[in-house]
Amino acid sequence: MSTFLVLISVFLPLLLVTIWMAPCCRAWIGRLSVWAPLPAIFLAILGDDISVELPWLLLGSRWGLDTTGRVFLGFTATLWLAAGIYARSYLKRDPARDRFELFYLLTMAGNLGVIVALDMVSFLVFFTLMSFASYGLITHNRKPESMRAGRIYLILAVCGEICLFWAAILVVQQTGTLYFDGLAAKLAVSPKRHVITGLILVGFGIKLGTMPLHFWLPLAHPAAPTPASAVLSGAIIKTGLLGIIRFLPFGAVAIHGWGVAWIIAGIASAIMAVLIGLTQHNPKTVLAYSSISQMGLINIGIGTALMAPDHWTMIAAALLLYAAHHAVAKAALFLGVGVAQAEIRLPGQRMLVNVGLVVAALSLAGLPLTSGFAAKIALKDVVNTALEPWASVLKSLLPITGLMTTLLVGRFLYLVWPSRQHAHNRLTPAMAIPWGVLTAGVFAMFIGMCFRGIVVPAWVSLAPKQLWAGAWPIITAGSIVLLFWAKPSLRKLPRRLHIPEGDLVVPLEWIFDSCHRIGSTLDVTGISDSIKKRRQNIVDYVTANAARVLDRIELGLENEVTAGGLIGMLAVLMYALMTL
Amino acid sequence: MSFELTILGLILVPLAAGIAAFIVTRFAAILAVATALLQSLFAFRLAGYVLSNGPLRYKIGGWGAPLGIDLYVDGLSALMVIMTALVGLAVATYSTSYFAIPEHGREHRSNVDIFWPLFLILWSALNALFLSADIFNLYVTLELLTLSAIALIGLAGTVKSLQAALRYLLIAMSASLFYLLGVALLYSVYGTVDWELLGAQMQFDLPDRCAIVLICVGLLLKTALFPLHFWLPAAHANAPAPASALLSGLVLKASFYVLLRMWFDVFPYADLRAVGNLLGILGAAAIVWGSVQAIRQQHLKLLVAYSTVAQIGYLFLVFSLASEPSASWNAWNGAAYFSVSHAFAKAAAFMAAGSLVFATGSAKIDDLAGIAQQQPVTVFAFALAGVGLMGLPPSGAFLSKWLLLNASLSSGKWFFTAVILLGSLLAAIYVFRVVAKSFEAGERQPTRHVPALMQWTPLVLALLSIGLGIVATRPLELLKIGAPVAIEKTP
Amino acid sequence: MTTVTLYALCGVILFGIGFYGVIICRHLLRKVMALNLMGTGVFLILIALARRTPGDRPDPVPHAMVLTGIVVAVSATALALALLRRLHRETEIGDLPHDAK
Repeated sequence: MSTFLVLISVFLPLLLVTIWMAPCCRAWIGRLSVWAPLPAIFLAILGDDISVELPWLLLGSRWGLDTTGRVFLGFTATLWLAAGIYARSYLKRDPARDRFELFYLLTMAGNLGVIVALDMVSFLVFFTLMSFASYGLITHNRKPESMRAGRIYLILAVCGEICLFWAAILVVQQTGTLYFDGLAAKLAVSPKRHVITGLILVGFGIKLGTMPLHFWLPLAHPAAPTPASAVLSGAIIKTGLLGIIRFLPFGAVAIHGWGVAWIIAGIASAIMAVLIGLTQHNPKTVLAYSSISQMGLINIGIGTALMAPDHWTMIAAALLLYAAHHAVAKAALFLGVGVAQAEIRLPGQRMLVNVGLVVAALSLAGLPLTSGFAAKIALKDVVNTALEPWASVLKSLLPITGLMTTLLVGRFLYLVWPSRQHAHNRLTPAMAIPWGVLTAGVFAMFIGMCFRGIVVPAWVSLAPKQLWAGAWPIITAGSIVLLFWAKPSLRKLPRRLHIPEGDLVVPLEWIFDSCHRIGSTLDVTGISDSIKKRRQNIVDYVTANAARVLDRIELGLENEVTAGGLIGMLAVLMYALMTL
Repeated sequence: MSFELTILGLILVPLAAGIAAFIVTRFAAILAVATALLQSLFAFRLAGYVLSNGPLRYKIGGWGAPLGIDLYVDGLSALMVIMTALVGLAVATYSTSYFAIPEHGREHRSNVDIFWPLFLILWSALNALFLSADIFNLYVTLELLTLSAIALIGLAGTVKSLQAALRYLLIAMSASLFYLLGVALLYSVYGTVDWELLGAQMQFDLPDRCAIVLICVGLLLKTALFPLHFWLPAAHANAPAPASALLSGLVLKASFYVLLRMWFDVFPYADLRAVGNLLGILGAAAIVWGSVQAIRQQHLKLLVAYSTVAQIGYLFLVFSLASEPSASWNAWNGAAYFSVSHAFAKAAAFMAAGSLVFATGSAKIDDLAGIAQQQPVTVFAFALAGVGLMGLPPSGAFLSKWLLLNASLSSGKWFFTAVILLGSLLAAIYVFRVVAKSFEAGERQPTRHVPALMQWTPLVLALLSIGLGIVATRPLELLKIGAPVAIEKTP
Repeated sequence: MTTVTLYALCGVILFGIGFYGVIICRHLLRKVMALNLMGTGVFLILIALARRTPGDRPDPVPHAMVLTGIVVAVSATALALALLRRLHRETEIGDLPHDAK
């Protein structure tokens, strides 16, 4: 039964894609594709821990389910289901809905496949499928800014693929196994583990939006249609974490240098992303920056785990909890953007929407009684295990990140707060229900965790001291947000300080443009025309000369006399090499 | 059906069909497709025999060496025969539509009439080459192959294609004579042309070394390894699209196959480490040079042709990588599998390019702007073939590169690791150039209607090149059978 | 120097001259002739090598090879000439341009 579920979870979306190829079937494929994540949900709930051998596939594949996979599969499949239902209504009038469904199914197949893959080759195959298919989701509306976001995303995705590919080859070569099972112990004794760790961290760090590799994310996640943004920020981003957990030798060896580097990157992401995000005025961009900052906290956990292998079991549980919490809350917020912008007639409904948005938003900041609260407590235990001075640094930093997250979600709420003006379409049950379920999920997860006794024993977490520790950053930041909201003069401040979306990408694009002169017109503000012209001339000169040299060599090789000479030289050289 | 019938059928059926197609031109296309179907059947049966019985040898007419001709089949040759059969089947299907188009056919009726016999004889030569057991037969089949390939290049009848055909003729014929001289030298010393016997006896003194050099130079010329690739772009770009697919996908693989056989079966005990490194470095240079030139091309088919120059480079890495015993198994498998997956991807790319050129009526990449709207299937086929060329997972090229990268790491040759990865990146650039152009927004003139077979055949072939990565275990199992003794069989 | 070596050396020299001609000659007809010269060189070597067995009876295998080789050379020459004539009809010149693309 579980074997069947494992196979059908991945193959069902792929099967639907195949049928999609026939134009006549697209209408009912669209209706069916909504339910494609169901087998995966059943698998996550009912399936046993198993592994299925598929020796005929790739270099011999192994798919299956373990604890990590179960948690990931659970929230991922739920998110896909919610986004699928939501998208049916959200994209109802979109002429290119068929195309969306194709990429939706492909990305989903990749995402679910990554989770059930227990060998490196299928993991990479599904990861690649997911990465490239999500390009189609990002550029769905074909607007110039989406195409730009897609282009930057693609460049980074390819760079990440190369790192991962290289790392995987190194892992196989060092350990001689293609399977994740027992990989950590073998990798721990490999002399190349530092290089491998670096490549893996960079490769998956791109997906996780770790600073300074994050700049594609605030462009790409908001560019996609809202339901796709929800899965991008909720589920797909987490595959970076999954990859790191699968590949790195956690619990077997300490890799101190990378641990420190990753903690620093995590702190930078957690704080910088909030600061930049506060100056944004697109609510989805604010959410994307919030994702970067939240992933920063996950990165801190990863860095700690690299430092403290002894505590891996506890850290892993905390990371899983955090990932699940963030997935649900972030997806609820993204879906909430569409809900809030819909036309809501009844005041009661609006009240409900407002409350829902606030709850999901504050859950991210660790509001007591929500999953965020449990996740923060778990994270506190994690950072305690870090080596000094990091433990104390991080311990004092955590409440600050809570405070900053509250500020950021405050900004988000301000931008998205429902009003009649920008209503695009009517609020339908197909949009409201998935959003409502996910929002309720932040409570449900907390209650579930209390009953199951995972990480936080039920009554300890509700002790007044704990409650206060969780609540004070929210109360403080909440008051600041309200202050800004109330005073029109302060309200304009973020707009004045606006940092372009994708922050680092702006100077990078500038450098890239100057080096390669892509496109004929360069919009370089702040540089006088003469300098601009001179730079273009130098670039022209170099490229033209390089082209001429290449042409001349190629033409020279075509000359038969040159060719004859080369043949003779090659023959003599080969003979000489043989004799020496 | 017995083994004898299968192995003889693989060579004689296309030969007979070729002659028949020459005489009865009206039914040539039907005859060719029927032969192609039969060939695929034969090819898989042959693989079945090899899988169950191991390497097999067949003496034609019971004569046996030295005067009779021996046929020999092992995993590698069976895989090559299957590759030929599937690519051949696709090309045959595509050509029925391609040559039915007045522009390609009616004006040069004689060209169409001659295509089918040439195609079938080329096929017969390819199978005979892959099944040959001695190095002189390899020469004869290589010549038969070259002659039909030359005629295929000149088929378009344009001045450029005639010039390209003549240039190819001169180069390929000189190359064959180099090879023949090497064979003559080997025979003069050892009195045999059977590669197993030769491999066991070779001494590697002066005549042997000269023979090795002559054979290698001849085959490098035929396989168009950088810097001897100069004849290839013109020849492959000016031929009709199905012929380009055959030339780039299969004909080049034949001479590479001969070199692979020579290197690992005839001179396995020679100390060719330094020469192997030289070939590897030339291969690396080919990857970079071919890709850079491909990026710079203005014409679609030239871009694909230069991509062949680059991809041929990957094949030659094996001669350097396999010199380390720990890496030899991965390197040998990687190269063999690469040539198969490249055959599928490149044939698909050339056929898709042919359809695009027909649809737009222009050979220029710039004229493809916005064509994805009107020719979605063909553009998708080209993009998928591009995936196969880049070596993205899960394509067959991905697995081959995986094996080659593994070999480069375990042999400690980091330089090649970097080149393989760089090659993929450059391939991504030139494929993306075409795909991005065809997705470019804007008004465009309606294109000509492309027949369904010309749209779907490249797509199916491209899908096969991707599928090769997914079901790699069986082919790799097949390759193990009769793999050269010189390489260490550690998976 | 034995007769066999002399013949073989002659063959090698012919082969070299032929290859030189293929590279250097401008006119295609000359190139085709040079190609035939290369072939003749190889055949000469093969025929000389047939004497390598002691005794009077020559080895038949190189002879068979030469016969096959001649057949190949004749067909190649015929094909080359046909292409050459076609090209000449179209362009009125017998050379190959440098940039053939």
